[in-house]
Amino acid sequence: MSTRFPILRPALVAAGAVLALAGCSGGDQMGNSRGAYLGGLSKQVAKDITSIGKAKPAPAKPDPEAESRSALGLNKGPLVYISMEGNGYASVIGMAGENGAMRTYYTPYKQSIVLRNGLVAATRGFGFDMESADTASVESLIRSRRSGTAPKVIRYLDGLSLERPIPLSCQVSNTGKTVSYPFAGTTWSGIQMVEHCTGIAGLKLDNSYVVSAAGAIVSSRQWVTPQLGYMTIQTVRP
Amino acid sequence: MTVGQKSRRKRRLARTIGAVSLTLAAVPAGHADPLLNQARNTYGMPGLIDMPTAETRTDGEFAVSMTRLDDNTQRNQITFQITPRISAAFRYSRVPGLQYNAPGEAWTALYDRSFDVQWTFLDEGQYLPSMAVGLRDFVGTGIYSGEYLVATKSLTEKLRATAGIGWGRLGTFGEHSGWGTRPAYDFSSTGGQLNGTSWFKGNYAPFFGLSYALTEKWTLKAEYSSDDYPREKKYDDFDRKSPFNFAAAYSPNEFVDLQMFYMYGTRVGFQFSINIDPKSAPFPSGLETAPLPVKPRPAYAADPDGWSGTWASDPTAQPAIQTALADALKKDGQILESMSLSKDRAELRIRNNRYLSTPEAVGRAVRIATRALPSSVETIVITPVNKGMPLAALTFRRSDVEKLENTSSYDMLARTGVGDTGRDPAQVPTPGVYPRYSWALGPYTAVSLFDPDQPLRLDVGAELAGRFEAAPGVVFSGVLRQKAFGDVGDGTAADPTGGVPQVRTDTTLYSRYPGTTIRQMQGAYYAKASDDIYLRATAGLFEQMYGGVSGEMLWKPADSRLALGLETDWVKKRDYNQRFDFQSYSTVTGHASAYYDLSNGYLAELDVGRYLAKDWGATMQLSRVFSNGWKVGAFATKTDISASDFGEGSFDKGIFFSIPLSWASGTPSTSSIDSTIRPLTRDGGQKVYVDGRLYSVVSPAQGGQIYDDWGRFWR
Repeated sequence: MSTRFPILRPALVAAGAVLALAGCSGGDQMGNSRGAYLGGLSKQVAKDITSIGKAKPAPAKPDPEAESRSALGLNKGPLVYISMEGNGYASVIGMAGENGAMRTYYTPYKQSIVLRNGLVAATRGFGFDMESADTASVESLIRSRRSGTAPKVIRYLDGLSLERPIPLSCQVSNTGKTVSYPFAGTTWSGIQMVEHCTGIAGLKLDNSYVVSAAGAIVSSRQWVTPQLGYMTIQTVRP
Repeated sequence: MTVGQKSRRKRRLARTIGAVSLTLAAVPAGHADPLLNQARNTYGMPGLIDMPTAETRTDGEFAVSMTRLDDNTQRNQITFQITPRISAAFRYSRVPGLQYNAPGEAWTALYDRSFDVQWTFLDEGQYLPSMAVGLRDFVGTGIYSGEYLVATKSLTEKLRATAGIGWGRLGTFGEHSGWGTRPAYDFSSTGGQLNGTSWFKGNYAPFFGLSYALTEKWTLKAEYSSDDYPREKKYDDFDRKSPFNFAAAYSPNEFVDLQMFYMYGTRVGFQFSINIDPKSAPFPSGLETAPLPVKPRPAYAADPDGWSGTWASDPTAQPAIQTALADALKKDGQILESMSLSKDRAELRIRNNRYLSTPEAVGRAVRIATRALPSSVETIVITPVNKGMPLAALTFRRSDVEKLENTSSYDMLARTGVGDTGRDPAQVPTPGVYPRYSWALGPYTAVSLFDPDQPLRLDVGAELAGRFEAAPGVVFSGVLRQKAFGDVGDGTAADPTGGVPQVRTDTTLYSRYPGTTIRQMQGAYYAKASDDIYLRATAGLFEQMYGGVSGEMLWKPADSRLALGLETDWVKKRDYNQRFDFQSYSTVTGHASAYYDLSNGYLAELDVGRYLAKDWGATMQLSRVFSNGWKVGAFATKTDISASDFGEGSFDKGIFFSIPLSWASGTPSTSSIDSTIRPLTRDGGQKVYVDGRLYSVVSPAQGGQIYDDWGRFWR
């Protein structure tokens, strides 16, 4: 596993300059004291920088199959294997909560990914998260393996903490291609569906899904946010 | 749009894809954006070299720029794009050979502070240019004073032309005589007054220029300057051989600009700028851990006891639930101070120690609540608490929280009640929350600016801060400092002005003491008198220079943009050694204050009252508060001390900014880097600094700021 943050901005580096002045503190966080602030700053920034620079040692070549098999033995609930193209993060993650069709999966770093019937509905803790997504219309096309056009909205937070919508128009197509592959001890099969979405400012994205006969998304590659890019999700245990 | 702008836009596109649609929707047809400036002028403002242009910087941009010429002329600026069309600068400059000292003595370098402002009143159209009017050095001693009217037009995608008319210093070369007269520059002036009576008067002169965006990173500029450098020529050996200036600007990325200048046929110079856009954070959604997800309630059949509410009659129910909630909130950096629980309603009073954004803290708390409260509880009220005072009640229907998780946060806002906290006699304090303590040991730095002998002085040492909260709203705090090294105390203590008690100008004497000092040691009591009225009483050593007793009252309804406050302090001046001794000077000071949230992040504050030197007057403060916690503002105080008694600067004024740690690092924190810069510190218009004033305690968890920051509710 590896966590890599693609953009280390000067603001952070500047804050890191305070690192040389170490501090310590106890009790509640002292919000208003400058000394405490510096102490807190150096500690937190130290944590950031170490976590960015030398995040948990990553195996030279992640082996999804081996990792998934070992996760199956250790966990009871639903599991997915995810791989994020924007930051290189890859891991088997387990379900931590379920609200209707939404399942929240946690990484070991307490980041989360929310799937709504298999479609990415939110992420948290990656720095450039998808705050939420309206997926109902495309979901009904994809899971019923029908072709058609439907709207979709992805929301993210901008630098001012304002929630910004990315409105998309999505063309869903059934490729007619049947896919079958073994993964983590199970053979998964389904029809390949593709989803081509266009947005403002020339934004184009292409998602793809393998949908089982029962209408479950068994694996997919989905676009999350501009900075995180695409994420691959494979069911390990439904 | 030029090439350079395109590249910047491209780089920002990823971040602003969503913003574009919103912007497009909000702007009426036919409306153009202001022309964005590629490379600032030597004064740090949108411009060419010495001349201005009718361009602007990116809205909200906060920047530091440093200009040096080879004769050691220095212009160092903090600039801020206050609104999309108003640019401003605060400058500290060095002009060689222009400081008059005494008859017969050599002239030395003039160190001076100045303010500029520019308003772009017309956006570029198909045929019309962008147009702006500006004031340079409009308060202060006035070495750079000048006014201008300027127009800029894009000729091609890469080429822009500028023409303008300048007055004052900008009307000294190729000049024509204008209307009115302009008083001659006064070397012995105390400055500081708005020099408004001479604006746009006296001689005027035209200026011209071109800028060309060569590549995405390089811009070339040329200008014909209407500034004759008359005083530099007369009193120093400035050699102005030509009116033509040239510059090459290089922007390796969106944060840094570098420029080289060749000016007046004799001078070379360079500029280094750092541009920070508060609107673009390194990690916009933060690196804090994911919130706990909502746990929907099971069907009635699966939980008949929970749904029927019979649990409510069990006396062990609330303590068990409260303990579970307190533990879960503690892991999230929040403290459940107290709660009330009935069959269908729960109110959680929570203190947030971790998240700068109140909606984020509340959103996390309400999700945690769905995981612990019995099924029959449909109404969940989350009440942010600070210093023991409940600040606002946010009321949720639990079924909305279950239904709207992972949808637009603004849909949730429409279903959230934001209002005053009522009395809730059923509140049960969480056991073990009080007394609380905290301490921190760390370094400190103290900075003294603008001493002509040494413009930057710095002290570095160790600081031990402690806080003890005996009960809700009873806060004892203290800060000890030990200087390790530094030269702040080497500065000359300014002479007191005639007839005005010396209340601030001897700050330097406090910095000279080498031993351990008590920076602050006070006890404070906070209480709520009614739904909208908050009270504070503080006694002790407030700050480096003053101790005493302070009382404050604030009227602030949770949903109101207006707040009114009253404060009275009896203060006594502390001894220079900053222990428990006092000097003989004491006074009563206090203010009536009005705070108004002008919306869109602009905040105004007016204080009227009596200041430390027993002078009466008013302070006007304007600030721009970004919803991510950034704050930039300016203030000015005028009291009944005459400008001549006040001394240099004529009245008290300054700028301030606050940069939240969470913005810079992405990690959750309520801390920030705060700084106030005064061009000059005199004795008139000074206030005592008392930590924990009510508006700063109350407003972050109320109306305006709750709505502005609501986007983080589901974060």
